[in-house]
Amino acid sequence: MFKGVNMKFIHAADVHLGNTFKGLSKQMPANLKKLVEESTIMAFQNMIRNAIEEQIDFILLPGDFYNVTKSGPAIQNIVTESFSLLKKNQIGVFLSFGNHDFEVDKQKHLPWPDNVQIFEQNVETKEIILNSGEKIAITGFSYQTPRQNNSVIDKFPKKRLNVDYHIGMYHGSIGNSGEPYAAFKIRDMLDKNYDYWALGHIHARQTLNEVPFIGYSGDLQGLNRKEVGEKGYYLVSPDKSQNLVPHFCKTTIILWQTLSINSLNDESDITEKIKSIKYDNKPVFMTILVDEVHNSVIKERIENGITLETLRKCTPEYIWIVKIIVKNTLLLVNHIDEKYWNQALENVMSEFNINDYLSEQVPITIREFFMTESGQQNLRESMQQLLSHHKEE
Amino acid sequence: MKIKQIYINGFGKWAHQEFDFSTNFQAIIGQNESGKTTIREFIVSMLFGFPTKKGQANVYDPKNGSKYGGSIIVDFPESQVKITRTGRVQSSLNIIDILTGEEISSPEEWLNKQLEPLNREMFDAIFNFSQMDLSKISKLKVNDLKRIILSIGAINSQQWLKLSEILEKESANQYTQRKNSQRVLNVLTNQYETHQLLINKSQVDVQNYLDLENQTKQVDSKIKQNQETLVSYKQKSEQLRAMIYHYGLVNQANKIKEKIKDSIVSISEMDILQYRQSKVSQNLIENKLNTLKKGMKEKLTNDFLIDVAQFKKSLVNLKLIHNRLDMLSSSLKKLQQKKQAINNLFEIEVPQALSKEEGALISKNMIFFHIASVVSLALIIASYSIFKPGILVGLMTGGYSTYKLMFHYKKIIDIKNRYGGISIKNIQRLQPKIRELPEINQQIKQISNGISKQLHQVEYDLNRDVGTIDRYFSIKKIEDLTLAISKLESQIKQSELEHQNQNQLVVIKQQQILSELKTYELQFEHEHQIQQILLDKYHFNNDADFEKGYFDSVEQQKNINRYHDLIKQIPDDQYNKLITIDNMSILEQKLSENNKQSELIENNIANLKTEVTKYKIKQEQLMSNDQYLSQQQDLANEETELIDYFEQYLAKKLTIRWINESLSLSSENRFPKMKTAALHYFSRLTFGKYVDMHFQKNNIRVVTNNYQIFDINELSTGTKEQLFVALKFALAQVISDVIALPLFIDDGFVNFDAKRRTEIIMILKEISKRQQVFYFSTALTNKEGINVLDL
Repeated sequence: MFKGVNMKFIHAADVHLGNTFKGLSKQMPANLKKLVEESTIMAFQNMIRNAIEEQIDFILLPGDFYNVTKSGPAIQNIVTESFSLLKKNQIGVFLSFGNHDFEVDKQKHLPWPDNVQIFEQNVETKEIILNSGEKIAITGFSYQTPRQNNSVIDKFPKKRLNVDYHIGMYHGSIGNSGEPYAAFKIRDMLDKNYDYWALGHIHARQTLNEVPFIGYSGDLQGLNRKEVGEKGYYLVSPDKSQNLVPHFCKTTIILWQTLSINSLNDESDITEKIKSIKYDNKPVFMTILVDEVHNSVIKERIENGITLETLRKCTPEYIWIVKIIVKNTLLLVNHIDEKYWNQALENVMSEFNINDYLSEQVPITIREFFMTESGQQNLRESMQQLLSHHKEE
Repeated sequence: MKIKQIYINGFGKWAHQEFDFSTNFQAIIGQNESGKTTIREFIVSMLFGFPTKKGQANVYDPKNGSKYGGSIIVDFPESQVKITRTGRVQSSLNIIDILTGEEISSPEEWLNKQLEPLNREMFDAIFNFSQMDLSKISKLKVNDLKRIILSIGAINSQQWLKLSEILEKESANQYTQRKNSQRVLNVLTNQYETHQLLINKSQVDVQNYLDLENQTKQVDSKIKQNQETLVSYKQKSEQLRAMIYHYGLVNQANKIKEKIKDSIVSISEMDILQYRQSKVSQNLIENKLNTLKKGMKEKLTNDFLIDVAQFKKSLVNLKLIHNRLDMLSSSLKKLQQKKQAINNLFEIEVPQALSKEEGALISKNMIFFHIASVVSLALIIASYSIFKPGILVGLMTGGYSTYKLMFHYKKIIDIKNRYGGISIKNIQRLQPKIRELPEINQQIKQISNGISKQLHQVEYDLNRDVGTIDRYFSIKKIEDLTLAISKLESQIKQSELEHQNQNQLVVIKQQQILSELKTYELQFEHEHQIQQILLDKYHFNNDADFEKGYFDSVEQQKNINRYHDLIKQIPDDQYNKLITIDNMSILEQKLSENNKQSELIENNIANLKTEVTKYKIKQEQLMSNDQYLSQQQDLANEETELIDYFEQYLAKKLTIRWINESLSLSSENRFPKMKTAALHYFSRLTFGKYVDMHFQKNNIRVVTNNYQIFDINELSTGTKEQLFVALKFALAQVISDVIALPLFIDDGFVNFDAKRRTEIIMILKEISKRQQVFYFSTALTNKEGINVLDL
């Protein structure tokens, strides 16, 4: 395909450059740690290389390009160099900031190359004329705070009539007006008559509407054990009927995976399953999910971290076991008071307010974590473990 | 559920014992150590399994070595079974349906299902009731009692409460909300805070980086300016260098111009060529003329083929020698004839002439010796008779004479033999002739030698005088000489003839030359005229002038050409400028000044570039020192750790709440049901003193028959115990709606007075109507309606 014959662009949301990976252990080997640190950058560079190879026309980065608002010179240097490279190849960059990298344009940053167009806080439309003569309008906005409670979608104009394609860049999630991440409804977007909606914010790749395409490209690299599977960006081009169709392209550096084990009797059950995982050119960060443990010795070994240590020693180099999670079936099943215990747990958790337990000295990120669903899930599991221990004693 | 019969095979002190429990109220009476508790433990074990040795609990090993275990017959709502358990360590369970006689296939599972949701623990908590529980009541603090009473409605509450205590202690050691606490989690939190601050500081680097970027930009633009200036200086230098070069050209051109003179005539190349050619032709003609003239000088020649004079002289000589040799030849012949005549005298060869001694010998007279010999003989004979010594003389003279004679005759014989036996006289006669022969030989030899010598001399002389390589005279004999003479004579004749012919040819040739000479002289004159015309044309006197004139003309043309070439190289606009410049040093000075300026700027640029490099290095250092990412990941890992710790802490804290919440929830929910039963029992045990009770979130209050309300802590120890018993019975009753297991009361109520004990038995009798009651005690007064097993 020759440039100009068919428009081609990349939709890459949630690059999260410089993301720090939560939930990893200090015991992780240095080489893996380095890879982890640089994984978002490497994934980004993979994409830049592909963009040049594919001779795309422009690239859309709808939010959370950086993981945080502030970044070091090394990352900024890589970013400006990469964008300069795109400039050399006549590839435009459309950048808006999300809830993670809000206000980046107001921070100290190396000068952006002039092929980079940054969206302001207010919804604005930029136009680009391709070598083919096609005229593209792109509408978007940037977060200036970590929250965007206004229904920004209402500020988006209807499709311009004098352009060949009109594309929306939107960092947010489906919801009701007033919710924190620029809540929108699919109906709102369809009403705008755009040809493509490049969404950001949700890390799992998903399509909200087929034609015109409304969807999330997901992040370029899984950021935690829950973001499993291959990650990447969308390479978008028109099909025969001029509909813009996304094609997924991988950029994953580190593959997060979950290994589910129904019933564990012996540690070798895990090692054998791990050994059967084939190496696909990238390290695998593995979370092991065990439904049930029958052997009390193994149960104890898992809880004390001995199993994890043993497994890490005998797994292949490209697999790092992040965590072993044992799903506790409710411990008080068939207890006469089961319903009371369950009710009590719900009561306790719903009344739970972290500030009752931890002072402000404890970092906000940690306090916030325990208010998240997964944080509370962890707490529930630990609590049940405590009770089950007691029961055994 | 009802336990009908037990058979103890071996359990504690019991062996091979059968007990029937036909009624619902079963009292088991016996003194201490009589085995009451063993029976109770046996029944519970048959239902829930034998006790394990864990915690050094009593496992009731049979004392008399009987087989461990036994069986019980139980009525379940839907079936009657016999449960048999044997073996403590490897225990086996066997259940037989008594009605059908069939063995139940999965006995453990089946039994669990029948007893569901109870386990041994819960059974103990609900249906077991001992004096120990009661005696605890009196020792408890008020708040604890409240809690216990409140949580009677919850199953296993005591254990849960104990756990919550442990958790409270543990969590308090981990963390406190007080700042500056040295508890583990507080310390870790502080550490995290410090690390976070450190990372935020490293953000400053971005500003440094940006500053460096700006500085680099500024210096870069300076470099650009300088480079532009440098280019203009370089161009100026280039111009000056060109001017210097052109100035040199102008100077050179002027010098050449001086050499160009109007006086020098330009000679055409054609003319000089024609002149030179004419000159060459004339020379050729002149040479020819000279040759011809030489040919004219050649007179009649005396040259012959051979040296006739020499030939003739040699001829005369030869003839003289020939004559002389003829004469010598004839005398040689005469001598040879004479020699032949002598030779003919002898047959073989001429013998040698006699020597003097031989001549004398022949003519010598030997008579003396003949006489001497005879005399000697006579003497001998004479002497023999007379004088004997005379013999000796005779012998001596005789011998000598004989010897002389013999020697003489021998020599004469030799000579005769030499002369072929001719007589001595002949020999003597022939002697003069023999003696002549050597002289003849000598003469022959001399003449022969003379002839050959002369022939040799003639050969030599002749060849020396007239001989040539192809004409060699070989003269070995006189005849050869004759031949040579005739040869010479013929050659002389031939030579003289040829000479004559030659002279005739010379005359003819000279006539030809004369005519040729005339022609060439005309040509010569023609060439001369040509040359003269050319000389006149350019006003030259001679060849040399003409050639010099031509040389000058050529030089002049060269100079003119060179001048034009030089002038052509100088651009027109520069020429006028250049001729106004006095000398080159002005230009050179300008150039060197310009070069100096360029150098200064170049140095400046180099310095600026070094500065840029410095900035870049600093930037790179900043970048390689940029541990921001790594530090952040470290912090994240620290956070993970911290979250884990806090999770443990929070889990404990929340579990405490959970336990309390669960206990109060289950109690609260059961209390309305329990309330009726509990109030009934409490009222009976207090003989109607208390008529009501109120369950509140954290408290229970009781109301007297005169409507006074008491808090738990306001009650007497006895009343507290009665309330506890009432609640406990109520709980068992409420739970029996779910599952009705026998109630076991072990040595209870020892603190109760007789009246109250009787009342308790009444109450238990009531309870036994709904569920089987096992009452273990040391004594029982009123045994009515009770199956008593007296141990």
